[in-house]
Amino acid sequence: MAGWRKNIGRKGFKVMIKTMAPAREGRINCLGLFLTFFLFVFPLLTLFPAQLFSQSDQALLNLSVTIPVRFNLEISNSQVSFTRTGPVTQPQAIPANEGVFSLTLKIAGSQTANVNIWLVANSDLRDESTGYTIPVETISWKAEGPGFFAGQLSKASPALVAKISGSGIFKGNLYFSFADNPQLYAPGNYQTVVTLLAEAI
Amino acid sequence: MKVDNKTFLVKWFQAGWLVLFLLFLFPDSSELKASGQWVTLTISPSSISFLAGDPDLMPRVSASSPVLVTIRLPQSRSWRLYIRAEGNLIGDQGQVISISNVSWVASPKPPLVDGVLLAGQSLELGQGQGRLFNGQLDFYFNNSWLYLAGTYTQVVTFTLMVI
Repeated sequence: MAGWRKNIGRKGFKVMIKTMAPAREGRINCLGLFLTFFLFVFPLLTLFPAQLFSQSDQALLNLSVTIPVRFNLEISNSQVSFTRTGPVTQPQAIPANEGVFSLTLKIAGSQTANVNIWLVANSDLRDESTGYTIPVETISWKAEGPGFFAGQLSKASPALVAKISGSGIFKGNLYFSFADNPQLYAPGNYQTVVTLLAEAI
Repeated sequence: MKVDNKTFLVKWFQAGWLVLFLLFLFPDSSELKASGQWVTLTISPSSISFLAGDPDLMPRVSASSPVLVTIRLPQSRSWRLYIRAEGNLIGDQGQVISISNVSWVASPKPPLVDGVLLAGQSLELGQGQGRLFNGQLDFYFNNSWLYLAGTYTQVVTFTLMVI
C-alpha cells in the first residue's frame, strides 16, 4: 500500500502510520495546485471579487424634486391718495400721501418665461356726490428697481409696470403723482379702482 | 488508494467548472447575499420625490415617503454606513439646485446621525454593531423662490462597510 507502512506492535495489534507521500505524487500535487490556481482561483478572484470577498454593499436612492411654475404679487398698501393743499391756482404735481408704493414679485418661473405686470384703471376719477370726473390719465408714476417701468394710468389700455424673467424675489418702488389743475378740477372727493394684472408668458 | 495524475486533474477541472457554473448562474451577488452569506444593505423605497409648494407657506418640503434602511450581516459585526450624493440636483433644462438643500433626520439616534447632503462627498450616516439593523431616514428639501421651475434629479449612494 503506497504511502502507508504496516507495523506490528508488541501486543500484536496493527498500527497504521501515515508516511510522507512518495516523491512522484508530491510532484503531481504541486502541479495540480499550480494549475488549479491559475485555471480557476485566479480567474475567480479577478472576475468575481465581490462575490468572494464581499465585506461591503451599496444601495441607490433616486431623488426627484418638482418645482412648479408659480408667482406671488404683493403690494405695500391698498390705497393711494392725493390731497390739494392751500389756495393753489396753477397746475402742479401732487405726490401720493402714502409716499412710496412697493410692489414685490415672487416668481418661480422657467428660464425663458417672462412675468408682466400691468396697471389699468376701471374708470376715470369720479366724485359720487357731485358726479364730477377727472381723467384718470392725470395720475402717473415713476419707477425704481430693475425690470420696473414708469407710466401713466389709463382706463383704455393696461400700462406696463414690470417685466421680469427667471426666478427670484423682485421688488420695485412706484412713486405716484397727480397732475392737478385747479382751474379744471373742482374741489371734491374723487375715487376710482385700479387693477393690477399679472401674466406669465 | 492511488490517485493517478489524470484522475487528479479531472477532479480539479470538474470542481472548478462547477464553481464557475454556479457563479454564472447567480451573476448578481445580491442573490447569493440573500442566503445570508454576505453583508446586505437594503434601501426602501429606491426613489423618493419632493413636490415644492409655495416657498412662503412651505419653506421645508418633506419627501414623498420615509426611507427605510436595513442592514443584515452573517454574524454580529461592527459596521459603518455612508451616504453620498453623486452631484447637485440637475434640472431637465440643465438648471442646478445645490444638493445641500436636501437634509435628513435619522432614527434611531444613535447609531444613525442627522445630516445634510454634500455633492460628491461620502458622509458617515452611522456606525454600529450587530447582525441586523433597521433604521429610518426622513428627507427634507429647502424650498425657495430662487429655483427655476422644472424637475430635478440626483442619485444618492448608500455604502455599508463591515469593519
